[in-house]
This record gives sequence, structure tokens and C-alpha cells, in this order.
Amino acid sequence: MNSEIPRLIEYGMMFLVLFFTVTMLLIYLKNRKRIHERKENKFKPSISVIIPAYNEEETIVDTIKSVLNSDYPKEKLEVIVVNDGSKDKTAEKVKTIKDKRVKLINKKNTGKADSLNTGIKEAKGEIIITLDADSYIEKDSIKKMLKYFDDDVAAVTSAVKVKEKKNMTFLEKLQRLEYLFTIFNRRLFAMIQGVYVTPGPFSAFRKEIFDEIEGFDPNNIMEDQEIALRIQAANYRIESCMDAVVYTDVPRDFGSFMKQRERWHRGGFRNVMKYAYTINPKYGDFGIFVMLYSILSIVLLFVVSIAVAAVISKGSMFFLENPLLSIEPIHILSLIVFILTIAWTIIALKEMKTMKIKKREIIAYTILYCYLITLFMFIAIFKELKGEKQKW
Amino acid sequence: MVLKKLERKISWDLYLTAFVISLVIFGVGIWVGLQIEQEVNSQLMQSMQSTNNKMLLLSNLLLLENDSSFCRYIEKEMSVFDDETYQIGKQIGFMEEKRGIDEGLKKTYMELEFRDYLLSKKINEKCNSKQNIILYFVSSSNCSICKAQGEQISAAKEETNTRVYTFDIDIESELISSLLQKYNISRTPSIIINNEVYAGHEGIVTTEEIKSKLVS
Repeated sequence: MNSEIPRLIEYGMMFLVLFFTVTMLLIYLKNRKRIHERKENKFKPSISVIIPAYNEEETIVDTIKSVLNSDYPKEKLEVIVVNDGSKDKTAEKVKTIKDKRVKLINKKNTGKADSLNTGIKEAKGEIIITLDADSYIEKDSIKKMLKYFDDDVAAVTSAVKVKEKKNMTFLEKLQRLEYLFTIFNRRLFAMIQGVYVTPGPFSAFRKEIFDEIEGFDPNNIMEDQEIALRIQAANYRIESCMDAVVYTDVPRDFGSFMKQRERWHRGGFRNVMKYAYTINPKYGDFGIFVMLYSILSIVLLFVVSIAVAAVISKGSMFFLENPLLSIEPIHILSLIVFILTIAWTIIALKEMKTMKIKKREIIAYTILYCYLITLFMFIAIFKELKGEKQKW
Repeated sequence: MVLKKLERKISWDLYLTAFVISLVIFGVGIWVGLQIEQEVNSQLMQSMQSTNNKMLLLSNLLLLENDSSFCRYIEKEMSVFDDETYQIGKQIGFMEEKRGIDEGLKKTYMELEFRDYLLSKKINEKCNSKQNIILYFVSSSNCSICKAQGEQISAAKEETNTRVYTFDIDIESELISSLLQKYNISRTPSIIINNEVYAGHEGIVTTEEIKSKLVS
């Protein structure tokens, strides 16, 4: 009797993973034509691009220049750089740009969210665009984003890609693939009104949304995800534009990568908990699919981690000598899910029109990377739970 | 305010289709897995059958040829079959840990073991081989120390000329009942060393204590 319950949980979780994968593939199949919609919106509002900056003297000038080079009417574009108490020459570098459209606000170091809010207060545009100080956009990025602002759209996300460099580390290449996959999936989520993050590097918002739901949360470590969830909870639409490209920096070495992911997953966990109440038919697909699976994936994470730990502790070398003896239905199911995931990744890359990625990178991504991320999620959430307990 | 609120929908047909497809894939996966398990089982049965046949041939030889000059050949053959039996036993044990007990498979295995045991005993007598035989009775459902005890016995087997035959008294079989009756076994674990019931102390019998009862 005792061995029945773990087995049920095992197969149950596998079914949930399978269901999620199949659903995402179905969303793609049902909306194949809409993925690359060429919208014909004639929306030409005034735009304020807000760039919060803390010690970004290296990249701030290129970032600002990429905005100024945008194919957009000069009089409708302003750039507000919010200097979050930088200790380097960020402010001086900004002043070297002699363009009337660029404003500089200096303030004390209070964090990214607060800096964004400061910028929003000063902004004159109808559309607010957040841009990271180490990222740069293409000429038509802004124009392409605006096409998605239908009447019920409060925010539009972009295609966040990794900066192409000459000598990319293996870690950077994996992240490049991950970011492309994420862009595609965000587009799929947009089809069911389930976009759950407006990435900091480059996202557009209607200014009026901040009047209704207030600005970015200064107490949140993942403020770009939190604001998106808040917009969803207010039942406004977030769209996704796969063609508006922004290029951003990613961690090159393992140490900084781990740090970044820990922040992402701890923040993600807190946000999901905060908005868990949206798992309710009132919030449609966003609530009962996207949010539900966000919570389920955390549960799944713990289950898988415990199972893996159990297997490793048993340390049976017998398995290697007699692989056939060990095959159970669960392994066949895992193989099927693995194949579906690879198919999904290849579909994503095809739709993004990027077949430059080598096959071995795709395999490495699906096997190595996903488990690496799973490990980080586990560590992050474990720390988070420990942290919360200490606060009490 | 220009902004309109969303009219939330739930894509029921999407989830229903996904559910049906997932169910089908799930079913196929489980079916394939079970087929493989069945195939592994039948392969094990075949191995046991083949070892059994080889032992039958050898026991025929024993009956026909009384001359002890064939002892070396017979002992060598026997050790090969014994090894095969032992390997099959390990595989079955491994599968038991993963999937639980397959009564049919285990019963066939114990019968193979018993035949191995009988043959070994006969060969010992005929050829005067200094080989120890340990019968080890366990219960797979009701014996917490059986596994640990088994490890002690395996350690003793390592350094001596010993054969170990393990019988699970939970399995319903005439053979098991007869063995239990012969040696008057009432509880598990029980150890029979060279035809003597080890009437020792409570708890686990150590490797050293077992070895003291063996002939080297």
C-alpha cells in the first residue's frame, strides 16, 4: 500500500507535464496564422522612453543613441534617463548627448522600480516605454510595438534577444536559445491573454494604466513581472510583439548566472504567491491555466527533486548493467515528453526564423539547461521558504 | 479612459482537446512500458528454462556415470549453472525492488534454486567436495532484518566455498511447504548451514559467526 501513493504522484505529475506541453503545442497549431500577424494600426502617440540607470557608463550612450535613431517622428519622442545615484560617470556620459529630446534626472539610489516611477511622473508621452540601460533597440522596434496597441491593450512586450558577440561562452549560447524560446512562448501565451511578464529590458505601457493600478512596486525584486500580473489582475490585455527586437546583456559566467536566476526565481515565487488568488474562472485562461500551472510547476519542482534525491541515494549501479530491467512506463512517458519538448523548441526556432542554432545546442538545452534551471529554482525557492520562516 | 477591460474567456475546447490527446499519449506510453516489462519477464523465464535444462542434463550424467574421475568436469559445469542461477536471482531481486513481487517468476526461480541445491548436494557426496551449502529462509512481507541478514550471509559466501539458496516463504508453493516441514521452520529469518538449523541468538547473525560454522 505504501508504494502506491508515490507512484500515483509520479504518474499524476507526469500527466500534468504532458498536458501542459500538449496544450502549448495546440495553442500554436490553432493560431499558426496569427503568430506573424502584420497589424495595420495607425497609432502614432507621443512616447516617453524611460531608462533607469545605475553605474551604466559603459553602455548608456549606445542605448540612448539606439532610441534616438528610431524611425519615429522626432517631436513625439522623448528620452528620460533616471540616474539612480550612480557612482561612476553615467550622468556625464548622458550630458555628452546634445539632443533636446534627452532629459536627465538625478536622484538618490532607491532602486530600479522607484527610478521608473520617478521617470513616469515626469513623462509627457501617452505611451511609456521602459528600457534597460545596457540594452539597445533597432530602428523599427518602437514602430512595431505600437501596432499592437488595440483598445483593450494596456501593455506590449517585445522580443528580448541576447547581444550577438564574437566569442560567446557556451552559457551565453544556451541563454540565447532560451531567450528565443521565451519570446515564442510569450506569443503563445498572448493568444490566450496569459502574458505574465513585461520584461524590464523593453516593454511599452499606456501611461493611463499607471493612474489606475499605480506604478512599479519598489519592494519587489521582480518588478517587471509584478506589474504584468497586476495588469492581468485588473483584467487588461497584454500583447506580445515578436518583431520588436531589443538586445540585452546576459551573465557570461556561472557565478553571476546563478545569482541572476536566484533573484528571478525568488521574485517569481513571491509574485506567484501574491497573485495566487487569480486562480479563478473570473480571470479566464490567465487564471486557471497560466497561474495554476505556475503554482503546479513549483509543486512539481519539489516532487521531482525529492524523487531524484531518492534515486541518487539508492545509488544502484545495477541499473547501468541491466538497463532493460529498469524500464518502467514512466521512463517511456518521460521519453515522449522529451521528444515533444524538442519538437516544440524546433517549432519555436522555425517560427522565429532562426535556424542558425546548431542541433547539439538544442539537445544540450533540453537536457542540461532545463535541469540546471530546475536546480536553481529549487535552491531559490528553498531559500525563499527558509527566509520567510526566519522573518516570522 | 480609452482603455477597455478584457472579456475573460476560458478556452474549454482547447483544454478538452489537450486532455484527450494527453490521455491517448499517456495510454500509449504506459502500454509500451508494460509491453517491455512483459518481454523482460518472458526473457527471464526463458533463461531459467535453459539453465534448468542444462542442470537436468548434468543430473542425468551423474546418474549414469558413477566414476569420481568425472568430478572435476561435473563440479566445473555445476559452478557455471550455479552462477547463472545466482545472476537470475540478482535480476529478479532488482526487479522486485522496483516493481514489486512477481509470484509466478519467483516461484519458477525457487524451483530452479531447489534443483540447483539438490544437484549440488549430490555432487558434494559423490565427489567429496568441501563445499558448504546454506539455505536461507526469508519473508518478503514480514521481516525487517532479512535484508541485513542476507548481506552478512553474502559476505561469508565471498571468502569461502559456499552456495547460498534463498527461499521466500510468502510464496505459495508445495516446494516451500515441504522445505518448511523438513527443517521445522516457524519464523524468519532462518538459516540452515550444511543441513543443520542454526539455533543461534536473537537478532542478526554476523558474518564471523556464520563462517565459524563453515568448512573451509
